[in-house]
Amino acid sequence: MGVMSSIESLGWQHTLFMKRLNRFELLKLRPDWPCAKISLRVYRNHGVEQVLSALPPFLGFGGFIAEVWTGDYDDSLTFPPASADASLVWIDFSRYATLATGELIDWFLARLDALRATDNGALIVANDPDDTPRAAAINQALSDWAKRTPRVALLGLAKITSGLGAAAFDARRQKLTATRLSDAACLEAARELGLSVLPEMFAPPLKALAVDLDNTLYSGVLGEDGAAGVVLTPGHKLLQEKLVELQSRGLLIVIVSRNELADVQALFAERTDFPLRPETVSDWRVSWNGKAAGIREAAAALRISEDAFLLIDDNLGELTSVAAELPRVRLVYAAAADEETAAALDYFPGLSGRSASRTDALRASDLQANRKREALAVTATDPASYLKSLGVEIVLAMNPAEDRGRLAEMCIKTNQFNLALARLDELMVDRYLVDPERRAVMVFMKDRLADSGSVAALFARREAGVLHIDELCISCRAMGRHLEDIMIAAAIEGAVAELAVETVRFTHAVGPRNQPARAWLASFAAVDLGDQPGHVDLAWRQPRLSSMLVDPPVSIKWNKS
Amino acid sequence: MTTDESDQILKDVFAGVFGRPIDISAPLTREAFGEWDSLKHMEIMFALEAATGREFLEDQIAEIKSVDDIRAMLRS
Repeated sequence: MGVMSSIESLGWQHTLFMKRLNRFELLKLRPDWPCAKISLRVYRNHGVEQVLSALPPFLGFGGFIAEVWTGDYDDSLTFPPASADASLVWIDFSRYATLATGELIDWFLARLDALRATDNGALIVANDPDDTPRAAAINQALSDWAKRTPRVALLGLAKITSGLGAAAFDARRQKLTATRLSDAACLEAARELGLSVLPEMFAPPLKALAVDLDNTLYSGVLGEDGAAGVVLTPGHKLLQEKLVELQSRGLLIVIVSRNELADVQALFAERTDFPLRPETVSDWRVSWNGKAAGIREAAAALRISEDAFLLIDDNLGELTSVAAELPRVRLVYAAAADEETAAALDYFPGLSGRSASRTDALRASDLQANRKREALAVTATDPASYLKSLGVEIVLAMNPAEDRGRLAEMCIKTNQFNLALARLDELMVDRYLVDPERRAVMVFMKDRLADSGSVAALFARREAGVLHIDELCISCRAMGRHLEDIMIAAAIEGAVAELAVETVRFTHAVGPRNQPARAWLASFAAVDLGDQPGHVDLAWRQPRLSSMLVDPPVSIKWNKS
Repeated sequence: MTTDESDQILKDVFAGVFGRPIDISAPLTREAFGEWDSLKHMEIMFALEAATGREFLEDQIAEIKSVDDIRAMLRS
């Protein structure tokens, strides 16, 4: 999104994030900025057009446009051989009244498995909107199926209809619309699909929220009103509570403010009524420099891309200025009607569908621990004593099927230490988990300062007696701890032992940001990679490599469970 | 609601539903305007309800065959 489009989209917030959506207002919103195309196939047995017609503004807000193919009404759920970026299964379960609940569930899941087996795109399944024991059983079965099936998301109609109550259904107009759902429910489904489900699958992830202070986090100006004088209105309280909730789900909170740091420190010390506490803030960029500079500095400190930031500010001038300097930073206008700002965070693409993984929950504390680790590194006499002082434990897991989602996430989201840029999605990861000629290794790390969770992933394949390392990625959080060699050597050693090979072949790609991974391989293999993609072969059983795992300064264990 | 106000709403609704400005000053009927199918018709009706805060009866919706019919319904 460019500068003007970023700013223009701010004007859409009120319409997109309002509690009760208005189709007339939505009709007026059509993006005039370049949008990435998502091909969407819809398999259905009832009317979906009311949802699809309301989808463009929600998708457009996040920079997407859908190219939709809609199938005929089909209770038998047959799937023609075709593929798309995403497929939506939109079924009215009440049309199968003659089937017992168990029969319906078995048949429906078998149809979904058939679709999953032939379609490599993302699958989205709308769940049962009814409030009945039968619907609850169907939805539980769907939820369980979604957890064990790659690249699947559920469109939560049950939650939507529960929120709308009696207004969720419109039986009187069913003959005209071909669906029992009301227009209000269809608009909400479009919002869920366009702001949550599809962006979660296709948009770059948000990792940090940069938040202004004056008139954004509270009402008033700290420099003029003083810590006691600024007002925590109900809307600002709601916003702060929302930020705390998002922080607990792994989002990093950064304060970016034009103020005196001492005043800000005094503010948070004095205002114990603020739900947002200093310990929930990962980085402070309080100065008289521009907000873009603050975001750049925070991105460097937190080892994340500037693109992963969402700026929340009440000042359109500041937002415009950041859009000009950092056009990929996403923006929320903290309007005067400030309850809307909290609502914006409820619905913002990339935030609304975000579920907290274990790694997400660990991210903030791990990043804070990085500062202590860096301080220790400065005072340590040598790398080995530094690692011993940290008490580092590395745990490896071979083919951890339960971590399929995280394995794919690492392939897709890591940029700096991503050796082959293969961008394996969940379906591709699945092949490494189940194929006897392949292995996926997940590396977990913790030390006495923090639990870093899963930090690295390796994907290997045996072919003609050679172990091909098809992908190797390490989270930015784990870089710079001088542990890359040990982590990777241990992971490869596990795969080499299981697949009985002697040569390891690394595939390396050239991307805009993966120089750290290339530099590591050049050093590890003692070769010059040049500036082209290619392969590097290594005889694994050589003293230099074997010695890496002899008496290492860290604890290394394999998780056998 | 004045005629000007209702015509402005009609213009906005038709432009939004069909993705381009539609000349609603000329006689415009569902029969002559092929894109105005039953599903677009419902989208138009829902958007008009949202714009005016009124709820139309199913019979009224089904009987509408032209923009003039809509104008008459909005006046009623």
